[in-house]
Amino acid sequence: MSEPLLKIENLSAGYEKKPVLSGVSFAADRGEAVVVIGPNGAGKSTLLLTLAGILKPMGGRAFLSGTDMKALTSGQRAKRVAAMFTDRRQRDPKTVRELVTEGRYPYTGRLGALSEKDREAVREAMEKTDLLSLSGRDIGELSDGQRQRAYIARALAQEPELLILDEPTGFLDVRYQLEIIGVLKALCQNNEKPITILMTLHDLALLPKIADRVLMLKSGRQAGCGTASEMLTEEKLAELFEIPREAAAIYLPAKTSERSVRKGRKHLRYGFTTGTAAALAAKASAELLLNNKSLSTVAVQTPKGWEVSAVPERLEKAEDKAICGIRKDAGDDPDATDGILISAEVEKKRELGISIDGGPGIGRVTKPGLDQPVGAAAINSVPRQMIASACEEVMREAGYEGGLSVTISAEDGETIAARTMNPVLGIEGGISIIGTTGIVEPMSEKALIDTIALSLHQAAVEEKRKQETGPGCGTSGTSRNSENKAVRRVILTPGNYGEEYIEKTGIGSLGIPVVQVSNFIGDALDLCAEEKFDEVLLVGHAGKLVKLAAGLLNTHSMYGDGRMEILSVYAAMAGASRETVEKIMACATTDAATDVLKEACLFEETAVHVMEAIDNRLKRKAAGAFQIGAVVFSKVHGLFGITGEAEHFLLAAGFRGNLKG
Amino acid sequence: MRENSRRNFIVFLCLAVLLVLVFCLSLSLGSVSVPVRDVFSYLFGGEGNPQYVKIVREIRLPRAVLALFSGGALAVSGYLLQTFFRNPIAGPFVLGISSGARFCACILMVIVAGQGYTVSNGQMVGWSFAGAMLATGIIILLSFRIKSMGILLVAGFMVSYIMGALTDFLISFADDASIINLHGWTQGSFSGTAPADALEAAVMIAAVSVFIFCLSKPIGAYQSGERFAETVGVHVHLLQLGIIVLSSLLSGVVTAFAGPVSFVGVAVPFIVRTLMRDRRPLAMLPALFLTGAVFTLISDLLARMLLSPMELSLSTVTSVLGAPLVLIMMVGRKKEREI
Repeated sequence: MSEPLLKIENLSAGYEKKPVLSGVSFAADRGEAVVVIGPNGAGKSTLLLTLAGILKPMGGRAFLSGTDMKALTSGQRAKRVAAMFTDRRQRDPKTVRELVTEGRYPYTGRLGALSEKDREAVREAMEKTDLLSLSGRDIGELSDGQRQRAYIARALAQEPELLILDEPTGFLDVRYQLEIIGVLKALCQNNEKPITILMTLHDLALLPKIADRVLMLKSGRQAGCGTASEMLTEEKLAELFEIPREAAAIYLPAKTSERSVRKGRKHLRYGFTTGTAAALAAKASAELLLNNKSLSTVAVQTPKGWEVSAVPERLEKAEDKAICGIRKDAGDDPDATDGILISAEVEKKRELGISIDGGPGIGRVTKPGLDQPVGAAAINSVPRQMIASACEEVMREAGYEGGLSVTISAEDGETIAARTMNPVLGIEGGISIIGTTGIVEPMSEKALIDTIALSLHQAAVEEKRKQETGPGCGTSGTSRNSENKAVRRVILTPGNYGEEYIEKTGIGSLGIPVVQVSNFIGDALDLCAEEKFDEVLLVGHAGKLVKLAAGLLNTHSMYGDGRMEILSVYAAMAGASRETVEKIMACATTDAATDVLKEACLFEETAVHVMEAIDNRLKRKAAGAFQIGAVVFSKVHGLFGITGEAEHFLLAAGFRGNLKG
Repeated sequence: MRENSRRNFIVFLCLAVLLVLVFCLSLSLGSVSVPVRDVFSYLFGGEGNPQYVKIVREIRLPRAVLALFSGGALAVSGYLLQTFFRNPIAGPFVLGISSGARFCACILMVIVAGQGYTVSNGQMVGWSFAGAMLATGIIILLSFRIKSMGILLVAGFMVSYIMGALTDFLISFADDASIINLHGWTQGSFSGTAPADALEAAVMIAAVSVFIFCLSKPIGAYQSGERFAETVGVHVHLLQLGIIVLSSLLSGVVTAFAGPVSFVGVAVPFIVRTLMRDRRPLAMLPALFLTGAVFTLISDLLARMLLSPMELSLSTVTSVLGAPLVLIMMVGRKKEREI
């Protein structure tokens, strides 16, 4: 585990002889933003002044990347820690560049001579704060937001690892506040040189936008430290600021469970995936095991970027292991696994690293072609990563240097799994944990179709507008057919895989609207007719679109499968032996089946037959209302097949790319 | 930055030319007028009318040199204290330097001379300097306890008042002659400067000034804010102590050799700020020195020439010359904003 950038142990500081602040302990990693909040007089500024080296600490220790800060000379410290406080009155006229250059003090020569490196650092600092265009202006002429950025740039010119800011958004109006928060966030998330930020904020509403960690101070003592979700609860805020709970509620960030999306006429709540539930459970168990902390609320960051928090239903510790149970909340999505209790048992082990396995209720993989190898627990890589990250976070904070083994289990997993596709996919004994974003977006069918209808309508309007903008108007998306009437086109794709492929191959740059239609291929085509499109292109993954060959116009698995049957039939027509057909039938995914076909050298011919079938079915559905083509691809094997109409579509639209994907 | 370089160059050039001009005039003009050509020749070892040579080399040259260096020293000293207190009306004597020097000069004149001993020039210089340093020492001790700039300034005033009161106390025992002597000393004057004195003063002032110049970088950072300076690695408390000591040395030396010369230290930084756009100490310090030198030379020349052969008191001239100048400049320029 790498050393945290900043580690504070039992720090106390003050003015004269009396300590105004004591017992402060926390750690921050590279690229983290720690926000200190608390009532006036709590000691926030004192803490910042002490870490900036302006006040001498009276007790405890502070470490910067493992080095005791007391051991640093002021010159060494100035090259690693920069601070911006609120005393910023300048009397002399100065340009922005001159102001930012002041920050190079620790690096310049005896009389302040600037080297090329200094000039470069100044330029970079101005670039990060978006001030390059203002570099020659006098700072007195800048807006408040611009001036604040200039002071931040001056601090950045010191090339610090740690940036300390005291009320950087103070006295700024909303627009400038957001500007500053944006700049700070970018500094933290910079991949090459992430900066750790320690700042105070009075405006709690800004906290969720920037804070990775929140440190609460009250009357000179630490009142808590954790993620924004963990710290910003009604109870904690009310206690910290001594205000009534109802008043505190205004400052709470919207919880994921309270986020909703409008689908059709309803507001449907978002939920979180089983993977997120597993990560939450693992984190709470680890906290209990390593820090002996029994969390009342636990929170994790999801790949989607939203934070999810939940209350552990069960939290127990026994010797060298701890177990926690979190109940999955799938929001308003009709999900078979909603409400399932996911438990994570965390145990210390001697070997380094985090090992994750599935216990009772979690299925095991028995067929090849899935994300996990045969024999492994059916927990996919993204959820595994989430679980590992959550545990690593806790291990770092606790300073634990050993390894952990995590076992995930699901109550009644076997019975619930029987109602899902798992047995077909070869996952036995329980549910699988697969989600990639960590968030469950609610999908009521009618609502979804309404959304698609809206998107298609918007696309039609857009195409019509292009038509009316005049003939030969530059964009390759619009062209004329033989009657010199503008052609209205749209591209349909089931979901994210398709979008990615469209982006990657350049189909997305043709200027034609792309609409996601999920599994509702048939409904979407009907809507296309209603919206009077002339040409439609369907782009999708083989695993879904193969089903079209048999006339399954809704590709959701609950309406039927038949992928292997389809491939087998056309393979047989291409000359496949019984053996090959049996192999295909045993496959779990179209990619695996493709492998089998390639091995038997039957792939090309089979694909041609399949595409023909798809072509026929689509044309039958379109019933002459528009021209319909299909592009089918596979993530693993590239292009699966393309119909004649699709080729025509792409050609007319001016496509010049490569469909290999 | 390039604009600044150009402007700096112009300002320095003008000041240098002016300085040479005024310096020559100081040597040339007087109750005995010596043509400028001859002045140059006498300076570099040429021969001529022995009386003229003596006037130029032993009377006017030391005086002009002392005036030049004193002017520079006072301007720099005033600037340093204005930086330290972040207050544009602070001057070199605001920390009690002149009252300290005066007090010790008074002891010498009233007590020692009053008893019938003769007071040598060297003793005057030595005691005045000691008095100046005494006041500085008190301020430094106080600065360890008093952390606020504003309060330290008040403490400086108080030290001046105490010294003044003690001086007045001593005066009550003095005879008229001593009182007149002291009064004369208090007006400040460059007349009667011995060549050795001029050299001594010049060397000390030059040395301290160069040292201050080498501190341009931290002083500049300090001007941008105490906390800022601290965070970029400046030892702020040490710097503050250094500023007090160095400015006191400068004004102490001037007071020791010429008595308290008022107004130069307050007015000249003001004038220079108006002339210069580049406010970095690196550029300001040389400009201050040159401007202070020019200003003081002009004042001394006028003091000598206006009512010749009677000499006006130097401080009168500096005030009458300086105050309206400052007023005009203040009224004329754009207001500096606090941002």
